[in-house]
Amino acid sequence: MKAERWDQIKRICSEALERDAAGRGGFLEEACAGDLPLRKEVESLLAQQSAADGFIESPAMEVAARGLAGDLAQEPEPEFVGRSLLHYRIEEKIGEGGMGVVYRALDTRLDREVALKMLAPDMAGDRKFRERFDREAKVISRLDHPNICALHDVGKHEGVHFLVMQYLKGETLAKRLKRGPLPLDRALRHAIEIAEALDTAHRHGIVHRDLKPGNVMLTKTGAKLLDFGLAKTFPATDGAAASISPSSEVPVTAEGTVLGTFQYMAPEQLKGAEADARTDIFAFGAVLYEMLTGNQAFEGTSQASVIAAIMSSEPPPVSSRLPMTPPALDRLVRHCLEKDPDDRVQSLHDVALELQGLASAGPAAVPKGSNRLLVWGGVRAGRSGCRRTRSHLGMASLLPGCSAARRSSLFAPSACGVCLWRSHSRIARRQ
Amino acid sequence: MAGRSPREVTQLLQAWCSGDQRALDELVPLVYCELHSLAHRFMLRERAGHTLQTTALVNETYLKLVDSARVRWQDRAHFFAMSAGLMRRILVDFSRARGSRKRGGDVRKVELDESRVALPERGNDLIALDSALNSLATIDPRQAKIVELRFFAGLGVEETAEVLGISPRTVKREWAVAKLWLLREMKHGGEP
Repeated sequence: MKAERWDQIKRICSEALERDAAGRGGFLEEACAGDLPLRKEVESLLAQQSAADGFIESPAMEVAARGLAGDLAQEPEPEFVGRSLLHYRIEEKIGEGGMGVVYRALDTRLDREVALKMLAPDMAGDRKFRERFDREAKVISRLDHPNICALHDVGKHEGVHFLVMQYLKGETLAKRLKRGPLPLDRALRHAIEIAEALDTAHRHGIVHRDLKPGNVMLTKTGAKLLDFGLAKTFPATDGAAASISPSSEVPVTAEGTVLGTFQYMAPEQLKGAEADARTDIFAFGAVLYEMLTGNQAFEGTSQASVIAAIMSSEPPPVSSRLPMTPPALDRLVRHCLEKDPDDRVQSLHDVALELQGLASAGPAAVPKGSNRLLVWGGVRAGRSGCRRTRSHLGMASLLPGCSAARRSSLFAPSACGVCLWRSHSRIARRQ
Repeated sequence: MAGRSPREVTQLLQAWCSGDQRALDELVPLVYCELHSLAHRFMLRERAGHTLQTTALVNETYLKLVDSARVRWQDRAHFFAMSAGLMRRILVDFSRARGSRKRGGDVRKVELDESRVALPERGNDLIALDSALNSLATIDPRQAKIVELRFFAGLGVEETAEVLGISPRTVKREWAVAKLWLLREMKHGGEP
């Protein structure tokens, strides 16, 4: 084809594309001026328009990767049961997540059961991920907290990277919650355990990033946190990548289900901001809410509706689902679930203290009739009164570096009655 | 990317652009590694039911491979043109290898657009596109280049315009017609 002819076809085609279907016929009539082969050529190109919308709009790399992903999904996973990695004899597959498959294994040197978590080959092959993984594994192995699943070892054998962890017998909180909410005392006990475990991690600079009922194991000796700091591998705010498409990507862990994963994510996490301790506090609030009520704090029938709920709506108060809820607990949950991390409770140490107070008060913390009025009256009476009371009792010192405003937002709810009560109990303990 | 920082990849690309053939031997496995990494992430997400957009993930991969910020201004056009051609070669070769590996079984084509199933299967893969693009290059080399830069090197309209020294508006117009031409070529083998 001659270059001039092609230029003519292109020009008419481009101009036709800019017109709507109605105006096109007349335009072609005029532009082709009786040149029937020209018109036929242009029309056969325009006939492709309906198919052209998404065509080659995703870059080739994505197209090729999607095709390969389809192949990978069909490949059988390597069978490890019966094999040995170093001195670990793999006995049974016990779980599967985005990070890889988890097996029960026997440590033949120490003759004890362990859990072996294989890293998915992709993650093990990614240097950046592996470095971070090794670094965090080191820190986690030092955490040594009764409510954190202990990491014994990190190994590599025949190209397979794996974690050796404490083998826990029990059921996950997710499984337990399928049977309904936990009794208040048990919910508080586990909440304290989780809060203390997370607080310990935070003090070591580790953010869990993926706290959810599926990552909490309920054992005879209490709740144990799993998968510390390792679950997120795709930070969305990775410099230029994020600036190209600021809102298209949500950093997701590949573990668990969509809803299960999103439902405990803090708004800032959904926006792609870096997770910090307060991100875990939000997730903690959502988990606590669910332990108490048996309902998820943020529900929806689609990803979009769950995300919208997390970003903009508040769950119904715990007390609306569980009438005997101490107001302080109601407030505490709400403060963990504040949308803005700055407005949120700032430390799980404080949360654990509040929860301990509530737990040891037992039924006394539950308002009955006039008590409830008294407590809510206290809130209506104004925050400054509360704060003064608290400062007077030396509680403000628990929050070094917190601004007065933050402090007030933290404890404002305060259910002054409970504040006072807690202070009294602290005094009582000291004596 | 096993053991490689983006800078090293860009350096290798630059070395290759300036005629160092050995750099290619190192580059190909790196692109394959990135491709596998991306595919694995897609698969994990799909398995976990995540169907959100993956644009950032793909962009991140492209940035690792073709990091424009690290290329000197006067080299850019050449660098991108070479990189786009190389990416095309590697990805098309990959598709061929993948097709022959799966020969005899259920050959799943590398789909150019998953959301559109209306296209016949035979016209829907990278190999067919590559061949159609070769035909286009004989009629309109610049238009074929635009497709190569945008589709294979993952460049945006503005970047493509900058590399080719034409206006973004021209890129858009050429791109729109090129898509129609390629679709027709892939469907009917060039017969209108």
